[in-house]
Amino acid sequence: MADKVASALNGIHQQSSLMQQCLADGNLMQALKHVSNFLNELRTSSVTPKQYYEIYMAAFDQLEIVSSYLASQPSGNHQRPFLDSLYELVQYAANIIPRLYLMMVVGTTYMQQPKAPVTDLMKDLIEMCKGVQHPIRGLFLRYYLSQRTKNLLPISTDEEFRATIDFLVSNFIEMNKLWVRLQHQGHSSEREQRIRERNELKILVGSQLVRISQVIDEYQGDSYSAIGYYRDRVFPIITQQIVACRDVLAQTYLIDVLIQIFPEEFHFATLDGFLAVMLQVHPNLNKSELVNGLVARFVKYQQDKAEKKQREEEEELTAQENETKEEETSEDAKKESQKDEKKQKETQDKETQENETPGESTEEVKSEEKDDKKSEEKEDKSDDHTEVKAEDKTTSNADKDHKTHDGAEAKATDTDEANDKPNASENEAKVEESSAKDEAPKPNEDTKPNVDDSESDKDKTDQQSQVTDSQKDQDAAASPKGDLSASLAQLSLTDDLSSQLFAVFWDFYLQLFESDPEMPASEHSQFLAAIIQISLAFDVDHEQHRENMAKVYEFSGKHLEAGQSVDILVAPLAFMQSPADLKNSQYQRTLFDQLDIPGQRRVAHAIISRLLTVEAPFQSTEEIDGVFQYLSVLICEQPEQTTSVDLGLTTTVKINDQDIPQSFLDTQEQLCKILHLIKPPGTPIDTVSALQYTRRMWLNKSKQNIVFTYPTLVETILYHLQVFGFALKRVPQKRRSPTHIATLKNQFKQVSVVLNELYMAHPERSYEILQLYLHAATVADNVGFSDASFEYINQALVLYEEQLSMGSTDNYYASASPHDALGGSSASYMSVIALVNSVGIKRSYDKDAYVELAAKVTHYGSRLLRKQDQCRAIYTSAHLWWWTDDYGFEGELFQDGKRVLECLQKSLRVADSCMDPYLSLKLFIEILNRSIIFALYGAPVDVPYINGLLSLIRTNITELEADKLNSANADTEAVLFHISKRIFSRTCEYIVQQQDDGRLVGVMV
Amino acid sequence: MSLFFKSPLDIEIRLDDDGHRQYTEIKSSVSGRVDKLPVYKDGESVKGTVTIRTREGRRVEHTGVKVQLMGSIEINTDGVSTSDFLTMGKELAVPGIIDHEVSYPFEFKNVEKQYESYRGKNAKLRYYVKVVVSRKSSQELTREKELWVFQYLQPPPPTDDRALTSVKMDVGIEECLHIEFEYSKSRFNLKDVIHGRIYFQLVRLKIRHMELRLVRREEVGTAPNQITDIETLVRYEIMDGAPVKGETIPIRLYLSGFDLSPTYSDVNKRFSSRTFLSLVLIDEDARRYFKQSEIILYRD
Repeated sequence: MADKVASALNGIHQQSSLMQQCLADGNLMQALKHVSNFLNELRTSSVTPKQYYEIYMAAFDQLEIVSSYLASQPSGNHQRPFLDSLYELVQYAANIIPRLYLMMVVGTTYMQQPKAPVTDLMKDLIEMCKGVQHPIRGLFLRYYLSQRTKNLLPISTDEEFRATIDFLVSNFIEMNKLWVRLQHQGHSSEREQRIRERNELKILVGSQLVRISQVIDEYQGDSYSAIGYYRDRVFPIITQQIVACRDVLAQTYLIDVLIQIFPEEFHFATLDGFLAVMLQVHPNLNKSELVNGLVARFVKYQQDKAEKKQREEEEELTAQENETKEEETSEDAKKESQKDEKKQKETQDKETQENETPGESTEEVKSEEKDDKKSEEKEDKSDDHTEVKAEDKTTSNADKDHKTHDGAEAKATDTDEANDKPNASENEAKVEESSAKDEAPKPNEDTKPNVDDSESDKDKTDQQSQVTDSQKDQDAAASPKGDLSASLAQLSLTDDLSSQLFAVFWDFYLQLFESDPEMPASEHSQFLAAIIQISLAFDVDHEQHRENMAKVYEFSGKHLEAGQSVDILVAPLAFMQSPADLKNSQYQRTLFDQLDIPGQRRVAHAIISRLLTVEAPFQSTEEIDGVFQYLSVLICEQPEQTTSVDLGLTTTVKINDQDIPQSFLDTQEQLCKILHLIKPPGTPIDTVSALQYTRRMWLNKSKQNIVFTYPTLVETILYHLQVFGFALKRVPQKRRSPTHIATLKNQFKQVSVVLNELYMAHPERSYEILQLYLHAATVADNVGFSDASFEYINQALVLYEEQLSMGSTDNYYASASPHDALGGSSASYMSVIALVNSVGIKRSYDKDAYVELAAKVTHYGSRLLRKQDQCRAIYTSAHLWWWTDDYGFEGELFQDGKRVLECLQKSLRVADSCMDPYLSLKLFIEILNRSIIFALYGAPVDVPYINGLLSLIRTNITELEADKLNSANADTEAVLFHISKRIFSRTCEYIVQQQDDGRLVGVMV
Repeated sequence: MSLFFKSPLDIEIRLDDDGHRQYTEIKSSVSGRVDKLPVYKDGESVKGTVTIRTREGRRVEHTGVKVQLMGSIEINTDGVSTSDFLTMGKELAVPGIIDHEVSYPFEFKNVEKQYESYRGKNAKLRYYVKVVVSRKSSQELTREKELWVFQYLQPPPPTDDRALTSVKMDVGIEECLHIEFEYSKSRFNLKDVIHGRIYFQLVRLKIRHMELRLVRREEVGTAPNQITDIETLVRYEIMDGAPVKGETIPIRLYLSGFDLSPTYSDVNKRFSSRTFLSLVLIDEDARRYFKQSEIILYRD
């Protein structure tokens, strides 16, 4: 096969060099003979489309040479121009393929000349092309025609425009026929291959539609409306063709192209027709995808429009302000600057669009071509060539769409300004606008009763569009600025339509439902989802929208199988702006309940992620109920124990001997994030009530999972309570509202209840709960609620004694080295440290109560199992007896030096009783550090005491150095010993530093 | 003849061309040589000069010099048989002696030339001017000069309706192929264009391509020993690939570029030469299906 291509290419190059020689000699006839010879290579039928494309491109380049030669020739005598006779002459070529290519070269070159019979040539060429019925050859031939005529199509007069459109449309129709016919070539076992080949060729057909859209867009005739022309003349023919070909691939691709290349206004105008087409297409077609494509465009259009409107209103406001300030004469300059602004925006928009939409079709082609490993360098080159072309086309087209759009909008605002000028006041303009808005919903009401009756409704839309048409015509006739008012009328047309879009789509769907009962359920749900989107995007009136939604949901509840409606439920979420949008939808809820659990989860996830994107706070308990009724499925979710978890295929986290999938944790985390959004207007207390409400109503539905959500809940509540408490504290004591104090107190109690509930459900997580208690105690202490705080501490102590004091070592820190002072050891040790830290900073307690508490905590420390834990707990507890003013506490500091010394002494004894000498040494050094701290704090830890410690440590070091070689595991011990020595030397250095500043004088370093 | 016996006289015939005589190039049937011949119309005078020179100063005695305008049909069935349908003669000189160069102008006024010149495979129709110098004892000396006659007909009379209106034909193979074709007319002048179209009403064949052919059918002689020669003059591909039901294929064939001759039927009851338009379909197994229909060609 490749040989064939190579020999064909070779032949082309040979003949073409001969041709160029002849041209150089001025021997045109001989040259044409060579051209005809190399065009014969295009008659081959033994290559694949891709290879044929290669040959085509080679021939194409050579034909360009001929064309430019012909164009440079003198035009012959007056009666019979040179190219005219040549056009006849080349028709003597005996074979049709070379003949037609030659005719095209000569004909299109002729078309470039002034006074050429352009339309006749076009008609003739398109007619003669019918002689080629072979799909691939025909497609390329016609593609060649369209490439050659690209810039030559005449549109300066009405007739020319018509002829051009006829030309393009008939070329499209024929190409499509050939394309479809390709499917039926060859053996039926090669069906797949045919489909692949056709996919490769589809851009040839699609390019015709692109061309049509460009021409429609470019033509600037009097009383010509691009939309109208498209609707009346182009759209019916094209769609009829699409329907008639009854080919899945062709219909899918062409309808998609149709949707993508024409501006939205065109689609609005032809919506009825379009949907009618969708009812007639091949049953295997994925209609929902196409309709969704259209809907997506509509929705985007609507959003863009809204944004633009906003922007323009702002601009207008500023412009008008300026106008009133400045003189009339400066207005022109203003406008220009405004225009510049707009231009800038346009270009920005364009850029973004270019980035975003490189044209689906071309992308596909690209990827296909990339996939093809065989593709040679040459091919790549030529492919790129056309790719670029195609891309240019689509993007330029998109630009144009944009331009017209912008242009129309800009015009609209201009006229607004013009209207305003005489009045020179903004208010009037606003009044006008608002009245227009008031009028807008009225047509909706008219159509409401008819909605179920599809036919009458359709009639109505027809009538309306007719009415607007006639209005448009009148406008055009009445005012000199014909096209301007026409564009305005078009805008209003779309406005009218937008309110009916739902009805139109809905009727369509009902018809489809009846006519095609075999449609897969997934498509149904896609359709309904699309319809919901339409309703949301275009029905500004919420009542109307709600009715629509109800209709959709009711329908889907009746007709769809359970589990198919996930998409329907997810679709409206894209438009959800606040949690309020979810409440009060009975059908939605019913539909949701029909879903299976995974489906419900998907919907719930979608809701969460949308809420987190919008970040709109919950305003009321109704809203909370509205949202959480869907989320409860996640709240109650259990971590799945599937084989994939057992096999470690899904990422899991081990918590309390249970493998919990990461995805489950993520879900719980998201739920927690939602909790942060609960923030109704009012005081922090209202927020706390709402949070508590959420807990009561929803979160406590699964005792299993509260361990994941309650900590967040509690912390959030505490945060709000703290805010509220501080605010209260700032009020002078006499004027504090007793109700506020009571509420706060009550809320602290509630927190305690929550924590208790959590503890009851999850005693195994006591350490975390202990910390929550301690935090709550700190908050309460900070805002001056010592009773509540004390109560929390007591709760914590109870919890410690019940669960943690047993000091199970199989906890999180079991692996920590005993030498590591900060690494932790058992849960009980960690709990004691936490207690010490928490109790030590409480300042609002009654002194006796505090002393009792401190003694209790110290006692706990001394009863820990391990020596090192005891030692460390005790020297940490020493801090309980010596307050410092680190926290800005202004009252009297509680300081009891005797107890401090006792603690240090006790810990020293414990350290000494350690069996491991290296550990003892380490603990001594730690105690030394502690002592220095207390000495610096001013506690009665005097210099001799420190000196004693120092000498004790030194003695130990010397002893250990002496017998370190005798030990069995000398290596690890040497490391530990080395570390201890380093810590000690650093401590000594520190002491020296302090002595330089005049502290710790007398310590013997 | 003159190869062996060198002719003592050199006879030259010059036809007046008035400076704007049209010439036509005709392929000689014998050697593939191309003859360039002056073109005459029916009723046109044939006018010229005969110049006789002697060779090497010899004297030639003759019994008279005459010039003839001949129209003859040569038929090659079993050996060549010639029949003259036109003979006109003029005495140029009374018997005498030629010993120097002499010129004789001649003119045949308004000669009726009934037929158009033709050179086919087995039949020829030719006009020529012949100069004969007859001698007493030896063979007469002759010299011929051929001229070509175009018979310009007025556009065909409108009496024949079918000839003017389009020609439509249905052909087909049952359950296999059914096409309908239509030509704009059945009479064409030689510079005309054949327009037409072909409708495919049923296609079950795998057609590879379709050609239009112009076929000349030359018939010589009468029924029992008639000789027919068929020659394809033009092959013109008009369709590539297989159409489906409902397709229409356009036909456009310019005639002026081809070497065609007008339709002669039954010329002097000796021969006829007719042209047929033949539509040939070739399927993927290289089988051919064709349909012929006669077209009348004329010169105007």
